[in-house]
Amino acid sequence: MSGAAAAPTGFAFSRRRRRFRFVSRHLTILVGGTLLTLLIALSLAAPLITPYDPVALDVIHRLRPPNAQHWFGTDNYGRDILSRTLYGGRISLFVGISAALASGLIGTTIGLFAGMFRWADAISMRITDGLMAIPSILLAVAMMTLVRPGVLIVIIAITIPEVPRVARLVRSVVLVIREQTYVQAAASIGTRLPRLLLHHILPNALTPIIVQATYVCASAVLLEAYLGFLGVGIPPEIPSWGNIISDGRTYVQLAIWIVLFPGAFLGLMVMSINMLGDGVRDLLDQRLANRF
Amino acid sequence: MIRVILRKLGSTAVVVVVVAVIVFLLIHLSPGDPAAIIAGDRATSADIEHIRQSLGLDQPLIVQFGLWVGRLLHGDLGISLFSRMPVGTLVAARIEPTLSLAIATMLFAVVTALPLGILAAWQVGRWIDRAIMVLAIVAFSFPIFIIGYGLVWGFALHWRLLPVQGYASIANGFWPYLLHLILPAVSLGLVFMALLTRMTRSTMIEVLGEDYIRTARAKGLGQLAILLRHALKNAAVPIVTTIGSGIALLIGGVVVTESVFSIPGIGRLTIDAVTQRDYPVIQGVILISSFAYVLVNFMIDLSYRLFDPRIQG
Amino acid sequence: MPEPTAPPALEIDNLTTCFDTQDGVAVAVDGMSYSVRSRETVGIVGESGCGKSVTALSALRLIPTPPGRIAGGRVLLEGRDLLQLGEADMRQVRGNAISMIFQDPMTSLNPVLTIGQQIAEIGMLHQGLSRKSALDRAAEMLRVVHIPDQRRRLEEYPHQLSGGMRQRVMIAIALTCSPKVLIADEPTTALDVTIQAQILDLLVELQESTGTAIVMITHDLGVVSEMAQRVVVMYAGQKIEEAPVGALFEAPLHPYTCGLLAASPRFAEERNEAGHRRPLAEISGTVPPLTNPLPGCRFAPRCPLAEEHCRRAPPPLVERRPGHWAACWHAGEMPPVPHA
Repeated sequence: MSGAAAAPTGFAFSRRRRRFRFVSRHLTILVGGTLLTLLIALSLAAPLITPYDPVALDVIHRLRPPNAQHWFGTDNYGRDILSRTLYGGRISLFVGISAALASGLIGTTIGLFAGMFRWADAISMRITDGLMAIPSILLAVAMMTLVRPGVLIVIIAITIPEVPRVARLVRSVVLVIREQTYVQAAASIGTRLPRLLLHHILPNALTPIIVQATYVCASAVLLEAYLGFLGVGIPPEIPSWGNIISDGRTYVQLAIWIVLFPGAFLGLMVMSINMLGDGVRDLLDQRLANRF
Repeated sequence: MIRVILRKLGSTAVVVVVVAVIVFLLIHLSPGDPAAIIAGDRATSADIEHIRQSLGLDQPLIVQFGLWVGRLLHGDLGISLFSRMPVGTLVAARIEPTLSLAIATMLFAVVTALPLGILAAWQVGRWIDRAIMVLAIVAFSFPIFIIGYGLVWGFALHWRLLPVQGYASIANGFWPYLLHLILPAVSLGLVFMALLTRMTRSTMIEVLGEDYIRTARAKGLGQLAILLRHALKNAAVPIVTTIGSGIALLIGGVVVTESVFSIPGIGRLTIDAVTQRDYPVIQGVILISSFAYVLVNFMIDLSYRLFDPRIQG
Repeated sequence: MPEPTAPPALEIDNLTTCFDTQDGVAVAVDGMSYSVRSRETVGIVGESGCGKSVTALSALRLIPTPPGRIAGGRVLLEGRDLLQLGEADMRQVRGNAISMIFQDPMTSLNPVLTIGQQIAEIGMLHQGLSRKSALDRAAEMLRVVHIPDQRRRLEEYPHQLSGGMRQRVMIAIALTCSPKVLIADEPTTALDVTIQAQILDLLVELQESTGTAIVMITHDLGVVSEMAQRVVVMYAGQKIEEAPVGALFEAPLHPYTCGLLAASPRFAEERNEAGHRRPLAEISGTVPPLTNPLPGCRFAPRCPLAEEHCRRAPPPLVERRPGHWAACWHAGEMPPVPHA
C-alpha cells in the first residue's frame, strides 16, 4: 500500500550541498558583511597603509592618471587620491555610525513614548509628519547654512532628518507588541511601566530597530557626501568623500579618476551597509517563519 | 464623500502648519547668531545689523511669527538677500526645467520599476529575481552624482549620443528638450526606481500568497491574467503610497541633479542661495517643496478608493 | 445514487507528493488512491495535516513546485492522466472539467473585483463567451445557487456579502462550466452551523441536477455522514480505511477511525449511574513528522492495540468485508463504542 515514497537523495544531504545551501540562502548578509568589513579595515588602517599624507600638496605631479606611484592618480593640487580616499572612509564611517546611533537613540525614545502614551503619540506623530514632508537634503542644507561648519554640526544636521523614520518604526512596533499576550499578562500582575518598557517591550523591538539603524547609517553616509558635494558639508580641509568629489567636479572630463575612486568606494560602502541591513532583516523573517 | 475630503483636508492642514512652524523655528534654533553667520566672516557689524533687520530677527518671536504667517498667506515668500527680488518670482522663473525634470524622472522610474518588481515577484528566488534585487541595491546605494557622471562619461563624452549638460526649453523644439532631459532623468530616477522596484516586489509577493490567487489558479487562469488582473490591483495601495513618499526624495535629489547637469532650475537656485547664504531663498524653496509634497500625498490618499473598494475614507 | 457500472469520473492512483524542506524531504501524500463516479460523493476525512488537501491540490497540479513535487502515481480524468499534460492543457482542465472550492470564502474571493467579474471571467476563459454573455451566464449561476437580486449582486464586492453568500458565489464560479468533478475542500468549516446545512443541501441539489462527482474533504464526521456515499479515512499521508458511509459508522475497522468516532461529542447520550456523561475520548499523542516516516504502521505509537510487529511491518490495505478496506494488522478488534 505504501507507494514509492521518494527517498531523500544522498546528494541533498552531503556536507558540500548543505554548505552551498547555507551560503546561497544567506548570500546578501555574507557579501555585505565581508565587503563592509574589508572597507572598514581599509579605512581604519589608513594611517598605516597610505603612502602619502592626504593633505600634502605636490603641484608638480598634479592631475596625473593612475600610475605606479599614485595608484588612484592625483588631483589638481597633486594630492594622492588613494590616500584621500582611504582617509575619507574614516570620516564617512564616523559620520554614518554617529548619525545612526544618535537617530536610533532619539528615535527609539520618541517612538517608545508615542507607542505607549496617547498624548505623546498625537504630538509626536504630527511633528514627524511635518518633518518628513521636508526633503532631508534641503533640511540639512538649510541647517548648515545657519551654523559654522564642523564635523559635529554635520552629524547633527544629518541626524535630525533621520529621526522621524526611526520614531515611526519604533512606534508601530511598540503598538503591536503592546497587544501581545505576554505584555498584557505582565501588566496585569502589576509590573511597573519602566520595567515593562525595558524588560518586555524593548528587547522584542530591538531587531527591527537594528535593521532600520543600518539603513539610517547608509543614508547618513550618502547625505554627508551630498552635503560635501554641494559645498556645505565637512570643512574642506578634511578629506571626506563628498569634499574630494566636490573638488574634482570641474575636472570630470579631464581627470575622471578624482571622482571615480572615492565615488566607487562610497557606493560600495553604502551598498554593503544596505546589504547587511537586508540580510539581517531576511534572517529575522526566516526566524519568524520557522517559528510557525 | 465630501465629509471624507474635508476631514483629510483638515489633517493635511495640520501638517502644513507644522511644516511652517518648523521652517520658521529653523533660523532661531541655530547656536550662535544667525545674522552674523549669514553675513559671513568679512561682514562689518553694520552689515550684520542690516541683515538682522531685513530678516526681522530684531523683533519678538511672536511678532515675527505673526508677520511671517501673514506674509505667507498673501503668497509673499520673502525677499532674496542677494538679488533683492521676491523669492516667489525667482522660483516661478525657474519652474519649467525643474517640473520637466521631475515629471520625466517620475515617468522613467514608474515605467521601469513596476514591470521589474512584478517580474521579480513572479520569479521569486530564481536568478532573475536576485539579479533585479542586486540591480536595485546598486542603484540606490550609489550617489546621484556618481551615477550622473558615469552616465555623462559614457553616453555624452565617450559615445557622444547625448548632450553633456544643460537644458533646452520645450519652446525651442521637442527633440532637444527630450534629449537634454534623458540623462538627468535617468540619474535621478534610478534611485527612485530601485526603491519602487523593491516595494512592488515585496507587495506582490505578499499578494501572490493570498487565497484568492489560489482560487484564480484553480479557475485555470494564465499567469499574466493572474499577475495583472488579480494581483496588481491589490498591490496598488502600498505601491502608490511609496510613490507618494518618494516625492520627498525626488525633490531633494533634484537639487543635486541640477547641479551635476547644470540645469537652470529651482535646484540650482537653491545651491546658489546656499553659497551666498541667501537664507530667505532657501526658506522659500523648502516651504514650496514641502507644500508640494503634502499636496501630492493628499491627492494620493484620495485615490486609494479607486483601487480598493473596501476603503471608505 | 451513482451509476453502478460507469467508469470513475476521477481516479487517483498511487499518488505520492513530497515537499523539500529545510529538515529534509516531507512525504505529504504517500501512495494515495481513491476514485469517484458521476453523481457520487466521496468523503475524505482525517485530521489537519494528514494530506487530504494536498492530494486534491496535487490532482489539479496546484502544488507550488519549488518546494513541492509530485513524485509518482497517476491522476486519471475519464481515463486521461492529468500528470502527463503540459501546463497549457492543464489550465484548460482547471475550472472546466474539474473545479475546486476552498475553505474560507472571504479570503478566497478577490476583494477588489466585483462578483460579476469573478464569475464571468471563467465563462470568458473556458467557453469563449463575450463579456455580455458571460455576465448573463453569471446571473444565471447566481440564480442556480439561490442568490436573489442577481443583477445587483453582480456589481457588488465580496465584502458586501455574508459568509454563506460568498460560499454560494464560490460554488457558482465552480459550476459555471459544468465540471465533471467538484472538489470541495472544507467548504463549510468557516461557516455557521445553520449556513453549513444550507450549503450542503445546495451541493446535494446541484449534484442531482448536473450529475457532478463530488469529493468532499473535511475533518467533520457529521458532514460526511450527511453527504457522502463512500468515505476514505487518511492518516499521515496514507489511506487507512475506505468504506460505504453506513458501514464506516456502524462498524469501523481501523483503530484510528474508531478513535475519531469516539471523540465526537453527541447530544443524546445517556448519563451513567453517577449522573455523568461519558468523558470525551481522545487519541493521545500527535501525528508523526512527515520527514521521518516510521518503518511500520504510522499509527502504532498512538494505537491501543499496537504490538511489536505493528511497529516493524506496514500493514497492507486489505478488503476485510465487501467494499470495506482497512490497513491494520488488528482490523476490527477495537471494542465497539456506544453512539447514536
